[in-house]
Amino acid sequence: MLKLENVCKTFYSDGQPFDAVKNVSLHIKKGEIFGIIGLSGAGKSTLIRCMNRLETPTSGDIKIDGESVINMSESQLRKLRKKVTMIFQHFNLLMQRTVAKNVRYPLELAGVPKAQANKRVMELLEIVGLQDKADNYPSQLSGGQKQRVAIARALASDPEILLCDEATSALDPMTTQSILSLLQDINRRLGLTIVIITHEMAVIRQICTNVAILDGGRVAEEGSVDEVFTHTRSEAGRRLFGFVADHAKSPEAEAPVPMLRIVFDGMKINEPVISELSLKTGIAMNILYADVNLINGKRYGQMTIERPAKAEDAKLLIDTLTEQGITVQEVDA
Amino acid sequence: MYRKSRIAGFILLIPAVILILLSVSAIFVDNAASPLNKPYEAIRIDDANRLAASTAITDAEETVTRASTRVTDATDAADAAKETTETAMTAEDEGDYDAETKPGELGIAIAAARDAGLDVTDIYDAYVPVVNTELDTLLSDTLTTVKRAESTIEDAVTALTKAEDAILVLVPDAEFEALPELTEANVPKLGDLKGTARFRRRADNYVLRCETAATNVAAVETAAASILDTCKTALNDYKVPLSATLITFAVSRALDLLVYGLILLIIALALLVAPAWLARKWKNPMFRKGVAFIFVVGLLAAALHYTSGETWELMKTNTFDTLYMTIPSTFFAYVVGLPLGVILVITSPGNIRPNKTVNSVLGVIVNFLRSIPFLILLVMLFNVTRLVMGAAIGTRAIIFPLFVAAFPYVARIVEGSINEVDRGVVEAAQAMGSNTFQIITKVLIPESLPSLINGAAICMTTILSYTAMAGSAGGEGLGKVAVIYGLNYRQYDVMYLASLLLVALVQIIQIGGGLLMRAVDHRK
Ligand SMILES: Nc1ncnc2c1ncn2[C@@H]1O[C@H](COP(=O)(O)OP(=O)(O)OP(=O)(O)O)[C@@H](O)[C@H]1O
Ligand SMILES: [Mg+2]
Repeated sequence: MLKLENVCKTFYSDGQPFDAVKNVSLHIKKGEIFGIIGLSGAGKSTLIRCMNRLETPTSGDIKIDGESVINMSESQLRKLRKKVTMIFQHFNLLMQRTVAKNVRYPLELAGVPKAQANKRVMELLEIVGLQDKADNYPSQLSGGQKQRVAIARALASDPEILLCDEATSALDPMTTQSILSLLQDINRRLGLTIVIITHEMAVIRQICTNVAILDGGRVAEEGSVDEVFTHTRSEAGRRLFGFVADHAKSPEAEAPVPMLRIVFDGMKINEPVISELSLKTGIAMNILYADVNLINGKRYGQMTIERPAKAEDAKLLIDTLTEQGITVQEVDA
Repeated sequence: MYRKSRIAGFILLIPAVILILLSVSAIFVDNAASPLNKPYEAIRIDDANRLAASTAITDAEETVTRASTRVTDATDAADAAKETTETAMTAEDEGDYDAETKPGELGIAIAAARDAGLDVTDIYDAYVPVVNTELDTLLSDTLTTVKRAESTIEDAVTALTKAEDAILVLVPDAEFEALPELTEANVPKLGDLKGTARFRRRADNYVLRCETAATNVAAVETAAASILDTCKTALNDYKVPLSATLITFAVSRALDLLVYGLILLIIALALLVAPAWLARKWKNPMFRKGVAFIFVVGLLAAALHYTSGETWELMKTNTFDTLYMTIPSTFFAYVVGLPLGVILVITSPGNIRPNKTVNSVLGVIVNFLRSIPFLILLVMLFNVTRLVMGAAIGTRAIIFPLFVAAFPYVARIVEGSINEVDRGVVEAAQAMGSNTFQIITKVLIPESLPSLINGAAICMTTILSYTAMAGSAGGEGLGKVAVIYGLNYRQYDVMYLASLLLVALVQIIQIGGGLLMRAVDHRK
């Protein structure tokens, strides 16, 4: 569906070249929700902007349904952008238009007759749950509501791919949840392919099927979300998932501490995993870092503990956890 | 607490009380109890005296001139009479009559009889009494003229004396050149002269009297020149005391002074009694605006109050002229400046249609035109203006240079407004597949509309201020009125009134623009 081959993008500022995207190759399949995660400045926005050609790659090829977008003419591009729509971190709504007229904008561009367009607008607003706000101006909406309007607007031209550039980064966790659920719902109901850019692991974990980690313009790691999260291989991934604990580099630690990373992958909320583990094995655990989120009543996240000094203790821990279906990774600082 | 405002209130209280006392005594100036009663009476008498002196001077000037003209007239009449009597004398001596020099039925009859060889004595005898009556009338008329000239000389002397007296009332120690003694003509008696000879003597006498009159009038004129000069200098140098000016002003505008005094009193009392309340109220912008509004309206009302019908007409036509220049030039400046501003934005580096050449060429043109002072531009464009507007000067013609001066300004203002549009929104529009034209008409302009309206109000007031220079190119308008009346006629009240109207126009545009802006602004 969406194929990137060796995409590079070099910016020139004051004559100095800067490679924002380096040799990125990705394959995003139809109907999947693909996440791209990376730290600030990793080149995520630049990459996603190449996908609808707001940015022209310096080299490499981007194919949508087998058709290269690199050499498209202006009018072909405009047609492409009706198929590949986008939502943004700061919503980018037209502040001087009402909600309904914002959603109608793509239909105006397509020359849809007014009555038909208005009917479609109401349908779209129903999808995002904002029928009653049709005549309000964006300034009268909350951040989450604004993003819903942006989503409705992005859906207006019946796109096949929806690009989301940090669509939830300006929202609080609750609102982020609801927007992500909405995206997932749309993905399921309309079979829309969604590319999500974020720097928050939680977003990826909640709705993405596949993920690529971008680091310094390069793809550091790519694969299914479970795979990448539970068996993080790249340095960038570890940094992103936060388990290269700072203490490892802290001055108090004379020697680097060997660690165990425990990944919770949808545990029931009422299972007291860690205390049970401690009681069962009789081993005291030193928790170095923990990051656990509750999503839909399930527990997702990770915990980094100091690896017990005795090898058998460590083995006992790992075995007990693995028995319960919990992923444990040994981490060398 | 609030010590400063109490001190201010106390300081304000003093002029307030003074103004109120002054205006009350001015209102009741005719009442003997008013402290202004006596001084005002004196001022009135003094005013009357000055008026009398000034009238007397003008009168004397006119009388002297009249005397001089009348003497010339009389001399001419006497000379003519003398000539006529001499001709009659010759005709009588020769018993002859010349048809050509003395036409008329009798003369023609005499000439015809003589040509026919007839005796003309009978006819001639019939002719003489007629000639005598004619001469008599002529000489009586001449005498009237001469007498009138003589009496006007006496009038002139009297008028000069009156002027001197009027000045002496004001300046008792004024000294004047002495008035000349009028000489009388020494004329021989007619005795028992009869007939035409008597007429001739009379004519001779009149000529003599005219000669004397001419001498007299010349002496009077010389004296008058010096005396009137002394009078005028004395009147000009006469100092009206400042108190008199102030009292006159207070009496003529007593009611206004009372109003101002009461306003000051209210402010002073508010500062003294309720400074806390005032401080609280003053924090409210509506209260401050209200106070400013009352102040401006009061000024305007006061100005209009002293405006005569004529001045009012002047203001009305010139307000119209000002708008006549401002509105069309603003309109055309936007017709050109709006697209230009949009092009400046979209061709700038990193924008939706970056084009270095177009951007810098337009930028240079705009900067160039913007940096020429309007007055110079007005002159530079003379020929182009004539070509475009059909005339180089006049209220209508000025619309063109105003437009040329304004459109680069408009372009920059529009550029600023359009640049306020969030880049993200433009990007979103691009991401939805809008073409450049759609981005301009559906995003850039609508999204910056409030700012554009605000900018338009600013542009319009700028153009309004340019119209003040219209006078330099034969245009009318409030600005020109203010300049001409302030600079040339020194009628400062008219100048202030015109300026006040300009301020009012600017305020209306600004407030109107602000309201419109708020009405279309949904950005918050
Ligand atoms: N138009 C440009 N000209 C020059 N450099 C640019 C331009 N756009 C982006 N860059 C640079 O490219 C790099 C990647 O930018 P990009 O916006 O893609 O990062 P990002 O991963 O989206 O970061 P963030 O999470 O902060 O949005 C940055 O170092 C940025 O400075
Ligand atoms: Mg970004």
